[in-house]
Amino acid sequence: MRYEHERASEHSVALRNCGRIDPRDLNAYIAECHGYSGLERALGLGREGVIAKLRSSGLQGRGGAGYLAAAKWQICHDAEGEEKYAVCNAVDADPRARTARLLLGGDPYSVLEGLLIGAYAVGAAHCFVCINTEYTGELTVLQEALEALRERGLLGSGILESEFSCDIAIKEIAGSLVAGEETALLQALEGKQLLPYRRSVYPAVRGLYGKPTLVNSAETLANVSAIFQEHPAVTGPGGLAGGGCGTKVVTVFGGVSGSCTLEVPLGTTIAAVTEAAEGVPLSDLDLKAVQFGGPTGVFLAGSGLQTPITYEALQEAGAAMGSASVEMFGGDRCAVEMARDVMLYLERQSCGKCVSCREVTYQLADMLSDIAESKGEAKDMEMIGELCEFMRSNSICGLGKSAAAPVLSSIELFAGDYDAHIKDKRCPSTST
Amino acid sequence: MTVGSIPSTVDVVVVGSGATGLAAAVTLAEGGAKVAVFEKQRSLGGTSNFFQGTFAVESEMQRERFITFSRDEAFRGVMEYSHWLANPRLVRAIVNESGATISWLQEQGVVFTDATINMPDSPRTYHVIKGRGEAVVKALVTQAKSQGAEVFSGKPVTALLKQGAKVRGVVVDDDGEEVEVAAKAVVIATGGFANNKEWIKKYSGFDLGANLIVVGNMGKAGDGIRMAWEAGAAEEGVSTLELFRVAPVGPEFAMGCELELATAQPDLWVTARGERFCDESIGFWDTQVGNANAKYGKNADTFSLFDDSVIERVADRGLDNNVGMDALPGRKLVNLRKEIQAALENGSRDVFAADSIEELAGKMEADPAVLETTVDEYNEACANAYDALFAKDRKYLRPLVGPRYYAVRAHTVFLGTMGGIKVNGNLEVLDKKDEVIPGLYAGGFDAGGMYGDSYPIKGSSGLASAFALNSGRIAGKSALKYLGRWEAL
Amino acid sequence: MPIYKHMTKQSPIRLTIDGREVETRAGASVLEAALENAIYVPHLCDHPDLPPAGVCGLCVIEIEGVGGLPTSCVTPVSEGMVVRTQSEPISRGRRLAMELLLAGHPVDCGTCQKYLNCELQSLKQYLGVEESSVRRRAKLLPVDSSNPLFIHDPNKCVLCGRCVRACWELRGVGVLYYKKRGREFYTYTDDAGPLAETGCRFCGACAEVCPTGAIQDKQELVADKNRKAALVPCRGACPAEIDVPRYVRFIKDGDYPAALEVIREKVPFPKVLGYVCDHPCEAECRRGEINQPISIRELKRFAAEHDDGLWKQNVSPDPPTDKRVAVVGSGPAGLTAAYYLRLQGHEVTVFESLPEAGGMLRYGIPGYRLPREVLEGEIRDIEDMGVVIDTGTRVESIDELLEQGYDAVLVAVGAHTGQKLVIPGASSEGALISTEFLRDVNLGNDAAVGKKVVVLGGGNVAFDCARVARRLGAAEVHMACLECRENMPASADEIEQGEDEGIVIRPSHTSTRILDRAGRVAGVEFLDVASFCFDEENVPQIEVIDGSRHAVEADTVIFAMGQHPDVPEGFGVEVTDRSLIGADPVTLSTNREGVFAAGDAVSGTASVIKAIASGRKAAVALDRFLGGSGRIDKKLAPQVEPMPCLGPGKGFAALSRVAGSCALPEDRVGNFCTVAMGLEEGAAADESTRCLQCDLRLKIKTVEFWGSY
Repeated sequence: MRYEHERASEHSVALRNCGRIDPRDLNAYIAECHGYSGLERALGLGREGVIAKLRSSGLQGRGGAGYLAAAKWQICHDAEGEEKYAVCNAVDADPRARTARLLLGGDPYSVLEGLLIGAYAVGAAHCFVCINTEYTGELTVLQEALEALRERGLLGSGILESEFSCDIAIKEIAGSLVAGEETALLQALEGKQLLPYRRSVYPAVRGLYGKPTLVNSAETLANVSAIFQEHPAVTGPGGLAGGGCGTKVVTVFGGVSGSCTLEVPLGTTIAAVTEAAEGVPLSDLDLKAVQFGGPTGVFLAGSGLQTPITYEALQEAGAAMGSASVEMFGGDRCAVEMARDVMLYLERQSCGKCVSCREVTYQLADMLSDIAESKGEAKDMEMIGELCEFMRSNSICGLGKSAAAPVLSSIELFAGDYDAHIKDKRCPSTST
Repeated sequence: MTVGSIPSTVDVVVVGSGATGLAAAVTLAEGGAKVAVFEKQRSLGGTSNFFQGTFAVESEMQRERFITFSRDEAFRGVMEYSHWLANPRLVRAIVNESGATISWLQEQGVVFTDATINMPDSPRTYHVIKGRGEAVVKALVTQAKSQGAEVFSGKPVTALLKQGAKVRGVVVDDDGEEVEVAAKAVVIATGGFANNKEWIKKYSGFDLGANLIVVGNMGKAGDGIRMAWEAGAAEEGVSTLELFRVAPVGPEFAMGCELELATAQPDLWVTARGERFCDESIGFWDTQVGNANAKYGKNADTFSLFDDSVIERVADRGLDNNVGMDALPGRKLVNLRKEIQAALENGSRDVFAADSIEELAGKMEADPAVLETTVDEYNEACANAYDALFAKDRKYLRPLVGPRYYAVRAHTVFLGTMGGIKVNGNLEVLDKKDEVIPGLYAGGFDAGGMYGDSYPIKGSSGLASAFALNSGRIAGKSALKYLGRWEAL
Repeated sequence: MPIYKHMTKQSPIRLTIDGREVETRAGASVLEAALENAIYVPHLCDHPDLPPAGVCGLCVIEIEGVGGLPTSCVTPVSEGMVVRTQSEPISRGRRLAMELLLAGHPVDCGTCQKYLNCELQSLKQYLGVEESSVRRRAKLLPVDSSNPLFIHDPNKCVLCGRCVRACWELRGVGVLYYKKRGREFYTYTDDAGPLAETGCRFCGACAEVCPTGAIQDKQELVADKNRKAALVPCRGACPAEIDVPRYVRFIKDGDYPAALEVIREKVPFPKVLGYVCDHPCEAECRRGEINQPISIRELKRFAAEHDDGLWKQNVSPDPPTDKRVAVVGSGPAGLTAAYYLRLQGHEVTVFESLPEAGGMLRYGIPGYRLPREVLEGEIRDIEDMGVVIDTGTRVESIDELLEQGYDAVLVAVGAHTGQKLVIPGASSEGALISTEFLRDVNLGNDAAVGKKVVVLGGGNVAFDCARVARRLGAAEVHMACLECRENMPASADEIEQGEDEGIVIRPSHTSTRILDRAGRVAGVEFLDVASFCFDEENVPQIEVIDGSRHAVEADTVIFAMGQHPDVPEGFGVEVTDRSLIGADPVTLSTNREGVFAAGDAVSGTASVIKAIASGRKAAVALDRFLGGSGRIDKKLAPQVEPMPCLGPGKGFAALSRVAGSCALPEDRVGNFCTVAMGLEEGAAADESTRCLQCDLRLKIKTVEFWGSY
């Protein structure tokens, strides 16, 4: 598999080493990439010191919600319990995003170093890397990396001659949208079915086997190791430590260039990312809309494309970071069909546990199919609104809560397409 | 826990929480009597949850709609249908009360959507309820409680207590412990004995579960009837059943599924041998087809036959025959093919498909020659537009032409037993000398006398629920009189 | 901080629900707080024994200062919280949730066995959602009835997830999963394989918590039965109501004396029953539906063999009541009644006409089945409680007892009189009666049989005669009975052991005459029986096969067909036309005030356990008659709450029955040594582990419907 833009650029933090070094070579990581200087620094700072440093970096979790990473670490650190766990989510719940895959295959040590720093900070002695079952090549790389770390004394008891002892185990998880849910991931780690549950307390307080558990994405952890290594991309201008916002790994697909992953400074607009991926100005791209943030992301068009990619700006625009993927839809596409296809996918991905997500995705898929085939009625639109609101407010996990977003945004942006199907019984996107 | 404890003394015990018991309980509680309702099941309402409408004449709703069908006409209709086997004073009392009961139910919060007919050539006496019987149950339970009545579920009454000739209370099974509840009067409304295999065999000759399938009833052992008989009550109408339609029964036929609706259409129905047994269009009147089917179905099943043309017809033009108020004429069956496919894939023993009548007969275990003759003759009748055998309306003479043929096994379905305890027009229970047993009342499926040997569907659809509601109200009023409280109203 | 924490754990929380100030414990959910305080909030996925899930959307409420409609089952209470459970937005939300739950659920309840016990139906009734604004569909999933205990109807499943939580969280078994077929979800095993192959423990928790008809008990197991008896059928089937699952669990946990105490709570003959009980419990055992029933009798014997005697410290007679009871007959019924009456504080004397106590246990059942020291040990225990047994004393009339000042009398004389068929040749020399024959043998009298013996009868007594005959030296023993082989009344192990000992069984035979040679038995003439049954009046209906007449040579014939009590002339109680003592079936009282009757004397020949149960019933009736409470049950075993968690059960379903071993047939024919050897400790542990622990299911709480609030 080859990706045009997967190589590190001058902005790169998470992907800083990808393509630059042999991912299987621990020596190269240590020698050329400040490898394990971050962990060493962390061990020197003490647990509170680690969290303080992370806090001062301002790093927001790169998993999607954008909470302050240090806040989560602090909760887990403060939680009572002899036994704690740290978990790296490297499943890539959104199948079109592949940040975790790139990291595990291209630079596993940065992720593992971040995981160990997290484990040290919260006081966990057992870590897990949850990897997508489809990532067989990356799995081998990861297994070899863990073996190499053990041999080097960077894993096991008394790491770097400190008091800190820790081991990391691998758990293979079947890829699905719910795998992005911390609660579901923890169920799977316990040997149960990959299903989310409605949490009343954070997993950082009560997670795996009821013990405090720190869960971070691979991208977050790669950022963590860069911060503690005081990597130039972090300390330099625009870097987190240099007063900037840091970066985000974004995947763009659906255009002429196929699929493309790049790491851009937070604050880059969606339009700019799209242009960078496609290599042509926006005006040359016959774009009807993009869907941003994965299958539960909203559709954006027109001025919406100028939204800067930051957690706050996206939220203001009614969108969410999600998997930070950008799916492009050409000008000839029908908005109803776009929404229907998304909903059919979400219905398949629904875990079935709560009535709102299970039944509403089913109902919406049927209604949107009917509308797309010009068999819908005006009252369907009313019902769609009611059902979407029900799903948003009643679902137990993020997937269900956000599953209505694409439909609602599609209706808002392209009311005309829906009207044509319902009132005129025709699809405006077909020439007839 | 929240559940109240069983009182040791009340004015009236109502046994059963269906329409009869609840109508009685509300009437009694409105009259100031201290009432306790005991329901054997965990859920309330029993069979009454199912009815979709109820019979009434000279109701306000009918007046508003200029429906002139009168009490006298209704009375004559019911009596003539029963060949005057019914108890005329009881019929008269129910018919006369029925109009006012609609208004009374509206006061209790029940919403009626229309006064209409639900089968051809019938007077507009069917008062359609919004939310079915479940809504009536909810409204009456809520009312009864707000009027001070206590309602206990999961607490069966096991025996009546008498002192001399008079009723003095009941025994309640309180989770295995027998508790006595003293009461001056008892209203029996346990809903008949539709699940009592032994009694069904004894009184009607059917083998329950084999050649007679009960729907909408659960755990109806005849508790109330047994208790009343033990207390000296006479018997009336115990052999009458509310026979219903031909229907497929089994896990693959959720009630209301399209297969069931298709089975009820007036196409071609045959006995297990492969012969027609009725004018299929009598299916518009449930009891008639129930009777016709029972006549032939006592020894074996019957089958409803159709072909692809029928599947297409019901998809394009919809139903001829409604099935309840959920599936009205014209309803289009769009999933029928899917349902048939699923049934066949799941190895159904009640749904068959074949490329020829002969093959179909083989699967049905019918005589191929007989079935082929039947279909040939039927198709000829269709071609001639005249059914020389059963004079079926030519409108429904439509040949079976394939290419695929289908058969669905159907059974005689019934909705309840319609007698047991002999009562008078005041719903007072009578002993074997026709003397009133003081303090004992019965109504609904426990009481006999409203019907002859069969349910009078054609002129008075919805009569079973009407009998339940009205017998409950009248029993309540009679009991209030007995308690000396009626004047207070 | 510790003080604060302590306070939150201990002090109650006050909140306002629907304008009412209510109190609840900290950590309770808003739903729990409402329900505890008699405020109904509709809920489906929540269950008092399971962790909350918050997935059904029904229990939504409004909380002042909190936006939207929070889910009350997963919202913890907090001090001063103001909650509303009814409003227009709440109703709309609940109704929409219910419509969605019902979207794929069969629309009509009319044919569902769960109807009126169905939480979903009750909720639908409460919420009033007859008309639906969402699209309805039929799921068209196949119903799975392959399991012997449960039916899975995925079409009725509304994915409340209770079964999955019960399986994982309550029981720790973990075999149920959320599954999807096409577009439809349901719950079943991970690989859709049979429950038996997944490690299911068949505890029934899934069926118990299922609020709809999606997982139900098979109708044939529960229909028209008392719920408790249907779900714990071993206990339900025991005439003496011995708490079988409880003692089996004690054996599993290694506390054998406690197991014995559980049995002793109901019967004074645990070890005797361990040898000879006809175990109606095993026929009903739910494990039997899966493979083979638990060897309950063998486990009972095992428990009794591990008696440490400490139970005696907790059993002593109540203070004297100054009432005197005479019990006529020292069989299992009489001695059981005597034992319990003595414990109630009455003075009890048992009169026995034969030289030693035990009744049919001693003079009917042969020693190879019931070792005499076992019987004597348990009779001694009864005597140790102060029961006086007066052997060799035949009571000729009730009056003489009443004259002696007894306040009440129990007639438990058994059914010691056998009978011959009225057929030609029945009085020939060598034609014996079962009861007399067995009594003679057990008395040590001369009871010789010939070389060729025919026993007429197919019950356990007939087997006793046949097997004793073998032991007395008969070379050839035939048994002939009217019943076909499948319907023979004898227990399966009797038939098996009898055949092992060389007894030839001739089922479907009716004897027409005893052939004789010079007044001595020479054989029996038979006809083959085509069908045999009893009509409604209990009169036998026999259809013979024409031309099937044939004879079997014999020098001894033993009639083993029906027994009745030996009641002396002028005894003083009513005797029925079936020659039994007339007694009220419920109260066991006879036609004479203060005189009761129990056991075989009332019922005709029955089983030991039935006689004991009858003795218990008589003790209750007599105690009440004498002014006592009638409460004879003793609490002996420790009251321990069983662990609800069963843990994974890989291979559990396949565990096969461990039966007790037997002496080899060739070692037992010539002597009266014990045949059944019982269970070793390891075998008993294995066997007790097989128990499904059906009683755990009754510990699961029942959700109250809206009508109860």
